Amino acid sequence: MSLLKYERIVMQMVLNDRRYVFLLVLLSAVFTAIYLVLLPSLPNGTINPMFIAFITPTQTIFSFIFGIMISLIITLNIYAARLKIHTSKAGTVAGALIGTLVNALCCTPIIPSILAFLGASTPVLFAYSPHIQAFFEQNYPYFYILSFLIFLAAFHYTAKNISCCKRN
Amino acid sequence: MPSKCRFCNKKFESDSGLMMHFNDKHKPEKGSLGINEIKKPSISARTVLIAAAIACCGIPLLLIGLSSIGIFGFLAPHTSSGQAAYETSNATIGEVAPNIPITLANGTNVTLSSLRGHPVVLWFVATWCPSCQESESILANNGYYKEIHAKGALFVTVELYNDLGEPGPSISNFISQYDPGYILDKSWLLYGTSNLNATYSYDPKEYLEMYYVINSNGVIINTSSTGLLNNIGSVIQEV
Repeated sequence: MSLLKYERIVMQMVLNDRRYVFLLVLLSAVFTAIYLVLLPSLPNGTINPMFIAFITPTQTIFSFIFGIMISLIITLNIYAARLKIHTSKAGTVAGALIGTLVNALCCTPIIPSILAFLGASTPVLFAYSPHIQAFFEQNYPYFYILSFLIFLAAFHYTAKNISCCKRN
Repeated sequence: MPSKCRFCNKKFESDSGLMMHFNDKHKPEKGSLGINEIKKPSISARTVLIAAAIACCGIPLLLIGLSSIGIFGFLAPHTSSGQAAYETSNATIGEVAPNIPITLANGTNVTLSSLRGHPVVLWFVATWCPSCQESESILANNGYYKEIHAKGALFVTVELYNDLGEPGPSISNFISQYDPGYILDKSWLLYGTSNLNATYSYDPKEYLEMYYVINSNGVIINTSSTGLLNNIGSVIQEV
């Protein structure tokens, strides 16, 4: 069985149509730009283009990867929708959420607020929130990789659903 | 290896031939219901994706949950006498700001009460937190500190005690990295460290950054944990 069989077939099918190529390029540019702003902004709890000055090399690389991956999946989903082929969006949503929210978990009041919501009432319990936040700050590249793998899985299953022919 | 069309079992030597055949013979027209044989997404694929998402979110939530029921309580900071360190009076809006000692970056000691007579913006930060570093850089280099100074207010940045237990740069390194033009003897812009009680008085929930706006009588008029930079406009108006 050849590697990436479904992906190759589907990419050939989709990219034969110039409209989908144009859509893919356009979406890639838009989503990459969004990620370039979003990833460095979220630790501040706000979305502001001025934070792009603080983007890390890891965030820059993953902004392009996420932007292209999510555009590819959306393009394939649009293609599938036009053919009335059902595809699951769960992977795309999960990948997008994990890749972006991990930055917000570091520095915003989200973790202390969750602790409060869970019933933490004394500062003894809150003493752990900085460590949890530091964990997300120090390990966010691993969550980016996880997010990328989920995008990859979503791409694979979308391609598998679209490709209707099999090789014996 | 020959490929076979799933719909008519016709054999092809290459994928491209199969693809062209599919497009010619089996690709549904726009608006039609299409091919019945198209495989529906397998349950296992969806299960894998959901399991990955649950694992990713579930592990941190499990840690949070365990900490909320006190499993990690023994790790909480205590004073040398063994007493929980958080038993101090909390800073609240409308009350006089609790007095705390501050050791400035130039080595001198001041108390918060000694700064009365001027409005004070008191900003607690963890020096390792990226949002604090970015905010410091923008506040220092985009003229926000000068705007606060122009209104006769003092700006005091205090490192949270022991950086909340995480390794981070010292306050001196924090300044030199994010406010390189800073002169240590500036009387209206102060950087320093404080003790554990100060952290638990002003930041009992251990937010990574927390600011207070204190009027010239030493009364707290506003506070927030949602980021000083996000609220800098209102802070400048309030001082």
